[in-house]
Formats: sequence, C-alpha cells, structure tokens
Amino acid sequence: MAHHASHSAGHMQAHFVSGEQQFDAAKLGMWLFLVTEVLLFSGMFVAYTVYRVWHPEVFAHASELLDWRLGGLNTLVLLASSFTVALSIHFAQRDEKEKVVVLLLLTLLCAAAFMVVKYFEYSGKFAHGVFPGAAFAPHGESHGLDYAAYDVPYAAQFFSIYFVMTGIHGFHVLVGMGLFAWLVTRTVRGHFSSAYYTPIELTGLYWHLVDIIWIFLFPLLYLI
Amino acid sequence: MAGPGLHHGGDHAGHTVIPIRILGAVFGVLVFLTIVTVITAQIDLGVFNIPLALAIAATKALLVVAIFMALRYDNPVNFLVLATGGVFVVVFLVLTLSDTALRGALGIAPAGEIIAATAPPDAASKEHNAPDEDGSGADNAMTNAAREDEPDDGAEIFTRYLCNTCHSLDGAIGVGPTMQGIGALQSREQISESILHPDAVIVEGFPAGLMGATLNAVQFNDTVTESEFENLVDYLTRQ
Repeated sequence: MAHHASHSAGHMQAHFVSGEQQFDAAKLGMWLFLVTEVLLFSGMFVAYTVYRVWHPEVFAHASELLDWRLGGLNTLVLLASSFTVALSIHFAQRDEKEKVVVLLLLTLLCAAAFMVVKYFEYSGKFAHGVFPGAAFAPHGESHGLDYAAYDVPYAAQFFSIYFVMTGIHGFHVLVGMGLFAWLVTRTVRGHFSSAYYTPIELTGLYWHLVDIIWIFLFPLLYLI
Repeated sequence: MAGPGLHHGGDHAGHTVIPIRILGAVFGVLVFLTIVTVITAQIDLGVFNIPLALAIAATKALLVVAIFMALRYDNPVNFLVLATGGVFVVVFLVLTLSDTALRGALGIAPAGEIIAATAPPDAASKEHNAPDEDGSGADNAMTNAAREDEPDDGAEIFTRYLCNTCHSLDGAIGVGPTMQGIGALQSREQISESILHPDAVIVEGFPAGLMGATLNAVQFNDTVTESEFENLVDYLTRQ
C-alpha cells in the first residue's frame, strides 16, 4: 500500500482526495469527450440516412465502386488494434512494461496499416475522377468497372458523404497514431505502472471509439 | 493528503484486470461477426439487409464498449454519460427523419411559393406580377406563359418545373444565368447535359448545387417524361 501511494503521489494533484478519485475524474472527463465525438459523427450519420432514404438505389449503385475487401481488411486491422490496446492495459495493470511497449507498437502498426490501405483506396478513386462535391466526374476503367457508368444523379452525394465520413475518421486515426507514439516513449521512460497508467487507459477508450465508428461505416458504405 | 481510510484497495471498479482469455474471446467474436456481416450482405434479404447489418454492427459496438472499454466493470456514471449521448443521437435521427422521410411528394404542394419565397426579391416580384388571389402562384405562371407564347409544350414545361424562377428569357440576371440566346451559345447536347447534371459545368458567378436541389424539390427527374424533356431542350435551343 505504501508503495502504491508513493507511486500515485507523484501524479496526484492537490485538489483530489486520492489517486483513485483523480483516475475516476479523468475517466469521466474522457467519457464526456467521447460523447461529443459520438455527436460529431452522428451529424454525418444523420446526413447519410437522409440521403440514403431519398435515393436508396443510387447509394446501392455508387457503393459498388468501393471495394469491400479493402474495407473488410481495414475492419479486421482496427479490431486487432483494439485487441492489442486492451491487452496493453491488461499488462500495464500487471507492471509488465516490455509487453506494454510491444503491444502499443503493434497498435501503432495497425493504425499505420489502416492509413496505407486508405491511401490506396483514395488514390484509386481520385485517379478515376471520383472526388467529393462538384469535382465529381468518374471516368476510365479499372478492375472490370466502367467508372463512367457511375456518373448518375446523386452519386456525387454518396461520395461526398463517403469522403467526409472516412476523411474525418482517418484524421482520428492519425491523431491516435500520434498518441500511441507518445505513449510508447513514456512507457519506455518508465512513467507508467500498475498504480498510474491513466494516459494509456484514456487513449485506449479513444481508440476503441474510433474502432466503433468504423464498425458502422464499413457495412453502411461498403456493403450496400 | 490521502489518508489510509480514504484510499481504496486494488479491487476498485476502475481497475478491474480483465483476463486475456476474455479479451481474446471478444476479439474472436468481433472477427466472426465481421465475416457474418460480409456474407449476409451478399445475400438479398430484401428489406431485412439493412436492419441485420445494423444489428450486427450494434452487437460488435456493444462488445467493444462493455469489455474492451470495460464499461461493464466500470463506475455506472460513465455508462450514464454514454447512454445520455445515445438518447440525443436517437432524438437527432428520429426528428430529422420525421421531416425528411415523410415530406411526401413536394411536386403536389404549391412548390412555386416555396421556391419563390427563397429567391431574391427581384426574381420573386417578377414571378408575382400577376394578382394572386387563391395562392396558387405556380398555376397562374403556367397559364400566363401558355397564353403569351403560342401553344408550346416546351414553354409550358419550362414554367411547370419552375425553371423560369431562376432563369430569365430576356437577359435579366436571376438566381441562375439567363436563357436568352442559349441556343446560339450551346449545342443541344450541352443544354440537355446541363439539365441532367446541373453541376457538371457551372457558369462563373453562379452557385453550384442549387439547380440540382431545385430540380429535386420539384421532382423533375422522377416525373418528366422523355418527350417532355426533348420538348424542353428544343424550346431552349430556339431561345
């Protein structure tokens, strides 16, 4: 107990009664932030629903241009990263620092793999004139798909929604990568222990939410 | 500061160590459900495809929240925060859809008034120079146009779908570019392309997206017949 108290004392701020209370307060704050994130994305999900209800056949048609194998691969990559980050917290609670470092690096690797797949998806779309908004002008052929056949009214709406939703989601992945890199250096420097691992726990919560957003984006965009 | 009496033990709700076995099982179920959602999406289940995909996604999200995010073991106040957010998402979605999904056919409503009310004053006054007793401005505009020109289906369609609300025939600049002399400026193909894909080419100084939204509001693409469309394009090439 004395050991525990001395560890958390270094991180404890004067206005908290205990390290536990500080931990609970930080976590509550994180959940409040996550709710604002949910509301941010809900605006885009509502826009998606409104336009899909108006033009269901256009959404089904336009979605054929998205490769469900790449979307599915990215789903598995993000699920794996959620697993590794949950494991890193497990080992942080058991003071197994080396495993925490390895698992955080694996999470970072998964996030990078996700962005690489996304890069190839985006560049494939741009090469054939599939842009968001007024620039939408699909042309050319690739993988047996005639892109010009997708230049139908309202298809641009689907792709605007696709690019905005996956773009803002991808931005969250980039932020997560920065956070995991920061956590790795702090773990290596010995900043965390079973008595104090709040930053890992909170980043984990953020990362799981990024995963959950994608869990909904995948069937709604790729599997129509 | 922290006296021994205030300090909780390691069994505090926020510090539950979740066994690797459980974390692994959750990961396995998540991967399995991803495969299930891919397979069921290939099968045509009619109206059940969307609810099924959403149910699978919601199950996956619930697993992540309960186990990976440890909300199941956590302080209930965190669950309350998340649930409150969820309630507002539902309110957001239901109220929005109760408008957009149930608007019905806007073409039946006097759409002329809706569009005219949003157009700049000069365009609106032009539309309403005829006395309008019964509030059916669109009908009056239609009969006026039909009487002024010799009977011409194209001219009637030009007003029926409210093209004239934004596009003048006399060179006046409205919400959209004038149609005066359009036949000399553009080919038949260019004109029909501009109607079918309003945002493909935007005349400088005019807003993109507005014509598509207007055509959508009057349900142009859903109701115009092929011959009506041809007559409209013919009419415009003669301007």
